[in-house]
Amino acid sequence: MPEPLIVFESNVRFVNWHRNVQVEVARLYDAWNRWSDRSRPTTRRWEPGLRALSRIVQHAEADGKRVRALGGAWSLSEAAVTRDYMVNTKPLNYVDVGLKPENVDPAYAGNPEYLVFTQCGTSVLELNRILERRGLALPTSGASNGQTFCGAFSTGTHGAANMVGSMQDYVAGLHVVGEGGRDYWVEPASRPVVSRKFCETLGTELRRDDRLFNALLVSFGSFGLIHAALFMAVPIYLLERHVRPYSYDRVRPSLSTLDVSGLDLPDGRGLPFHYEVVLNPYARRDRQGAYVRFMYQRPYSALPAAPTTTDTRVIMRPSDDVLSVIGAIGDVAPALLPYAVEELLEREFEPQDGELGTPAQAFGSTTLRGSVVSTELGVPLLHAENAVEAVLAVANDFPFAGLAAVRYVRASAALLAFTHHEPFTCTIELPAAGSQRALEAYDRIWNELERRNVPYTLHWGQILKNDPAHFRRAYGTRLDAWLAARRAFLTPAGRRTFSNDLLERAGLAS
Amino acid sequence: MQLGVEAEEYELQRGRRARRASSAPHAATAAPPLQSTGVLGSLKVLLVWLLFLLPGCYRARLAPPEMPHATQPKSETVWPMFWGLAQPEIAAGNCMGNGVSEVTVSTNFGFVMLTLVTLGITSPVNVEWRCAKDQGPSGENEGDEL
Repeated sequence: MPEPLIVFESNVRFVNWHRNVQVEVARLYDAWNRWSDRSRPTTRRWEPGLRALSRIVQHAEADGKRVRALGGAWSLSEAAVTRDYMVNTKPLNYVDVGLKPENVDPAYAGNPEYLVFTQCGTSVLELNRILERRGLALPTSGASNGQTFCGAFSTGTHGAANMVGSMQDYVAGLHVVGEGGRDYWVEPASRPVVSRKFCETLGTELRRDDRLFNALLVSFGSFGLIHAALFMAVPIYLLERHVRPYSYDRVRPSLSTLDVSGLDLPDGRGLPFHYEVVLNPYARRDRQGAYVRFMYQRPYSALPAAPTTTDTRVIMRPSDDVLSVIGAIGDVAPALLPYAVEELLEREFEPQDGELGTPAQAFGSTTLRGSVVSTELGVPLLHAENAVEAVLAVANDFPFAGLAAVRYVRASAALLAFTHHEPFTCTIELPAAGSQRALEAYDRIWNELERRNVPYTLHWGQILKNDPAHFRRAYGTRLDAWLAARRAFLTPAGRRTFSNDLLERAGLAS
Repeated sequence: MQLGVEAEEYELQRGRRARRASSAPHAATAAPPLQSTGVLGSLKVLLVWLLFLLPGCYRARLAPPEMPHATQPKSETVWPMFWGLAQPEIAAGNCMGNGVSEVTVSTNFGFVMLTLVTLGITSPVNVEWRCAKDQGPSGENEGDEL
């Protein structure tokens, strides 16, 4: 077999997309689906990439280094980061839609044509395009499409499709490169999907184990380098999009009940497919300051094609530095922040009334760049209103350049899913211009939640607490199960190879 | 959170904000509305000026819409010399023959001063690029082997 292409750069300064994480890395590998002569195979197009990941793990072990996979660099936390060896997986973008009958386990009850095999580097953008051409769609995704699919579900990313769950909840199987560069196909024993023939084709060992699967799903690379995932797409649908401004007092009754009857929505009392409330923390409660973005799922019909042009357009955008400047100004003149937040919300949440689009059109590219921070809380539904009140109380006492976006997600079975609260997790995302003040505001919010006895988890891909006790409280026996699954899958040396500073600070590295 | 504003949309919204100014909601605290306070009005003017003055770099970006990136950004500072007679060219070998998905050209105060001081003998700029991904016949790297 030819050798895979292995390329890396030494002593690289890694900066994430949101520019809040900056680390000097000993080696940054690029993993491509190329052989060492840079050629691409015409069949088994994933093979060189898989072999490259295997070889990189062996390099790391031989050198006594840690290794971590890097996707879209979207995470605002250090989930993907190590100072040793990082592997950029974005070039690994092979996708195969629909499994052949011989590759599907006879016990699988779903439609094999909806099963999608995707290599780890495929972005949500690429998947949306491929699936739309096939009359399919992702059941849900995050708000924008720049993440890799595998990176997104590895931290528990979700949308606001409240009955669907998070992205990891429609993943059916995982192909992971572990210790020694050996690879495994992992899927639940209770829901087998692939056949032995499939595993022979990939040249991998089959592991059917519910606990291992649920541990691996949201593990941000802590069990090895994920090479690929198999997920269940759905027939394509349309989203009918609405944005309406309300007062906080009017939406408040819905926060812990999901009773939207007081909002006079077009489809009446039923909870929309996508339901999200974006709050201006500084607006008066009886005045406009809550923007409800809701979408109904509608049957698909072909939409008029968007006009295309070969013209060159020059667009003036806010500079990459604007958010840093806003953050810096906010640190010295916090009285300006409510004004800035109000301006932002009024620009970004213009009323919308029934615009139809595919999921890809609804959740497109993020065009604003710059220094952003964010933390995202996950609280049980019954505690949602109290948690929002905690955020508003802190923000009005200590203004910061951010807002609050409230969504609801069905509980996840993944052991470290921050959306594990039954039956629904209320997620409260707090994006802000990057600044020390915003980070201090997050500390205050976490303290206020604890003072109010509101149980909460935190999104692994956003700003986290540096407190192992918090993770123990947040996950309890799920944490024990995750640690046990990791100890069973990896030796102590393997656990070290696939650990990083974040795991150590969270008390998850042992 | 999706935060993108087209220039033409921004102009439309500036006009709408001017019409809404007389009925803008008040802040949640007991403080008076921001627009009625002289000191805060001055601070707003200062904010606008600082937004123009504080950013350290001028950037221009070539970014085909909806273009996935294969690599992290890589950059080189290049030194065109002698009023353009010597022209640097970056051979981006990390792109595997795929071309680039995005290019950002930037300069900063120091580069501008250097250009002035040398009377244009050199005029450095920073060039940052990301490589494009492998594609298949349909556009994306899609197969039908499994």
